[in-house]
Order: sequence, then C-alpha cells, then structure tokens
Amino acid sequence: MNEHERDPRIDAAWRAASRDEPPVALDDAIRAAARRAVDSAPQRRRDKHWWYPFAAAATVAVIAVGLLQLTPPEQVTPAIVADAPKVAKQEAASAPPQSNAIGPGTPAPVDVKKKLAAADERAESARSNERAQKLQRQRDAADKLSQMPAQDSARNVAAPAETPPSASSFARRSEPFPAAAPEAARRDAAVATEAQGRLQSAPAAEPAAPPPAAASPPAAGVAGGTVTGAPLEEKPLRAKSALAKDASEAQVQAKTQPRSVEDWIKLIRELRSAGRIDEATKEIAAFRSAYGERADSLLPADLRAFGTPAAR
Amino acid sequence: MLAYAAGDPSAFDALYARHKGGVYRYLARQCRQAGIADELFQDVWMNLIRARASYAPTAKFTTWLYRLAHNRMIDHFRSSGHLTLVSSDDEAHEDAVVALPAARASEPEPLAHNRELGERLRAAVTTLPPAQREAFLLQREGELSLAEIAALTGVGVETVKSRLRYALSKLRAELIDLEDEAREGRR
Repeated sequence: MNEHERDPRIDAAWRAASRDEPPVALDDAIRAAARRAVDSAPQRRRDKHWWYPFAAAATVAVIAVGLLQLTPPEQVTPAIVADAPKVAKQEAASAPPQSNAIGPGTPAPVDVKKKLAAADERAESARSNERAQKLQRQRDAADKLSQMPAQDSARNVAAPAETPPSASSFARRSEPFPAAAPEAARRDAAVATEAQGRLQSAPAAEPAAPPPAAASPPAAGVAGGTVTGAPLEEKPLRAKSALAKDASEAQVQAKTQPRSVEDWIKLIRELRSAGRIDEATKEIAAFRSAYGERADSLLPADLRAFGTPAAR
Repeated sequence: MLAYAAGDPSAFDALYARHKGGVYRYLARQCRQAGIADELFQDVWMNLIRARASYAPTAKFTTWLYRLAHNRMIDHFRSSGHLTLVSSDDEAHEDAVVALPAARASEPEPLAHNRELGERLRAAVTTLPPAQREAFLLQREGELSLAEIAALTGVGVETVKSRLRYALSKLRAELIDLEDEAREGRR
C-alpha cells in the first residue's frame, strides 16, 4: 500500500469523529437565501418559450397586412369601360363640368351606367329604325313591281290551289308568327306577280286578283297545281333577278322577323315552281324543324311529300 | 446544480443536504474556531448561489464546491495575516511545508472511550501543517482524487501525494500512540 493511499483504520476512525454539522439556524438561513434568489430572478430561464405567443401574433399581423396590401382595390372592370359607347363618352365630354371632387374627365360610375343604358336604348331604336327602313324599301320594291303593265296583272290571278288557305285558316296558322303579316303578304304578292309572269294565262273564269297593295291575303297564285311551265317571254332577266333578290330578302327577313305559315308555304311553292328545288327543299326542312310534328298538318298535301328522300 | 440554476429551489436543497457536512468540517478543521467556520461556511454557499448562472458542468460539482470553499478560506487567512505563502510545487521547500507551525489544538472537549480515538485523530489533524491538512481533508471530506486536489490547490499531483504521505504518517503515529496507551491502560 502506498503511503499516500487511504488507510482503512484512519478512515474508520475519521468517520466516527466526523459528525460535526452546521447549526440548524444556519441551514435555514442558507436555504431561504437560495429560494429567494431563485424567486426574485427573471423567469427567462424557466420559460424559454415565452416569446412564442408574441412571435405568433406578430406573424399573423404581418400576414394580414400583406394580404390586405396585395388585394387589389375594387375598380370598374375593363370590360365595362371598354364597352362604353362612343355616344356616352361624347355626352360625358359635352356635359357640364362635374364637381371638383370627381373631375371633368372622369364621370362618376353612376353617371356612366346611366349613359350606357341610354346608349343601349338609342342603339335599339336605331336598329328598329333600320328594320323599318328595310321594310319600307321592300314595300317600295313591291310597289314598283305592282306598276308593271296591266296584262301582267291579269295573269296575277291564280288558280285555286288544292288546299287554298282560307282567311280563318290563315288566322289560325299564323298564330305562332303573328308579326308583320301584312308586310309579308305584300312582299309575297310581288313575288307571286313575278312568278306569274312566266306562267301561261290562267283560266279566264277566274276574276282578277286584287292589287298587291291591298292588305288582303293573296290567293295562292303560285299554287303548284296550276303551273303549266310557260316560258318567260317578257322581262325574263328582271323577273329572275327580282325573284332572287326577294328570296334573299325573304331569308334575311325570316331571320329578323318570324314568317307566317302561309308565307312560308307560298315561298316554298314559288321556289319549286321556279325550278330551285334545293332551296325549296331547304325551306321545307326549316319549316319542319320550326313546327316539328305539326309540320305535316300545316303543309299542303303536295308539299308534304316534297323534300323527303322518297320524294326526291 | 443545473436544475437549480434553471430555477428549481428543491435542487439546491438536495445539493445542500448532500455536501453541507463535508464543507462544514473542511472549514471547521482548518479555522479552529466555530464562529469563523460558520461565517465562512455561509459565505461559501452564498457564493454558490450567486454563481449559479455561470456554473458549467466542465468538472465535478464537488470539485467546484470545494474550490469555492478553498478560495474563501485563503481569502480569510490573507485578511487575518495567518497565512504564509510558500511555493509548494518545489520539492526543495517540502521541508518548509512540513515545518509550518502546527495549528493550535482545539479546545479540550469531553472525551469518552468510544470516541477517544476519533477525537485524538481529529486533534491530530488540526496539528498537521495547513497544506497537509487541506490535502487530507479534501481527500476525506470532499472525496476528491489526487488530480482534483492538485488542480484545486494549484500544485502538482506529486506534491499532493507527498503531503498526504506526511499527513497519514503522522496520523498513524498518533493512532499507534493511542493503542499503546490503551494497552497500557488495561494493564
């Protein structure tokens, strides 16, 4: 055993002798001081995460502010501004100066909307005016055609069709398309006049047809059954061109104004008698699609089979 | 200690209960006056409380605690003029260390037979030179190793061995004397 190493006898003797302890009062004083030191110290070491709620609140605030700044302010959409008609802009320019808060060149949104509505109304009225002018032109054309030689007018008498439409049937069948019946009748009368120009003279027993200017429904002058196929001897080019023009006008007008059943049937007959089978077929197809199941009941017998594949 | 530094007062209570006796006896055996020992003892623990934030577990807590006690004791001896500093790393001064005047004997205490050996041993420790006494007390009360004693006292390990050798030899001699006296007493 090294001399510096511990001696068991000495260790045992020393443990027996080493029972000295500090006084109790001193123990209490030291413990109290230790507790006071911990209690009075800042709580940083206890709550390491004390800053978490503040950080979370700050983060939420930053995100909210960022979202508010990124959200674009409400403004008039470009479509509305771009669609403002020139009339509205001109009126805005010519209008008395606005209040200083708004500015002379920038009318308030409410005024713009009103002006847009007014512009829309004016546009609608312009369209209706155009339509009326177009109808007037057609009327004029019909009038001119009606001023043809009297012998032509005698031929305007049409033999009764197999199923001549009566006034009551006309009234009944024209219910789906109640608009512009007199104008369509006048136009069809002009077409009928031209078509009759190519036909042979009708049976003399028939009385002269009323002038096209009358607002009465014309007789079925273009009834398919009375076509005799007489060639056009007088003004063939003019009649054909007028017929083509009227047919095209009829198509345009059909898009803008609904056609009556009578007029439609008359048109189909005219086209067929003029040899324009394809167009007549298309018209019948359109008629059938317009009236659906009622089409067969509305069509005369000679036209019912016309336009079907079997008929062709 | 880390728990107490984090704010747990019960951790201090556990530390204090475990080490208060050894620190008190370490100071009492060297001061030879109970009042001074109490004062130094309280100062040591107050220094520990104040230094809790800077505590770093780089060494044993016992080493750090007895370093505080050692430094407080040195400060007391310096202020009281009872300390003669001698370089103890030099082996040539080992005799001077050994020749340091022994501490005054503690006041006589009533001795019983079953406590006589301990008392005589305690009395013999108080007569040891301070360096030897300190090394002996650090080894017995603080349960420190030779290296820790050397680091705490600022000397080499060999010097600590030498001091302990001398201390133990004197204490054994005291024990032999006690046994001889006991043998003669029975006669």
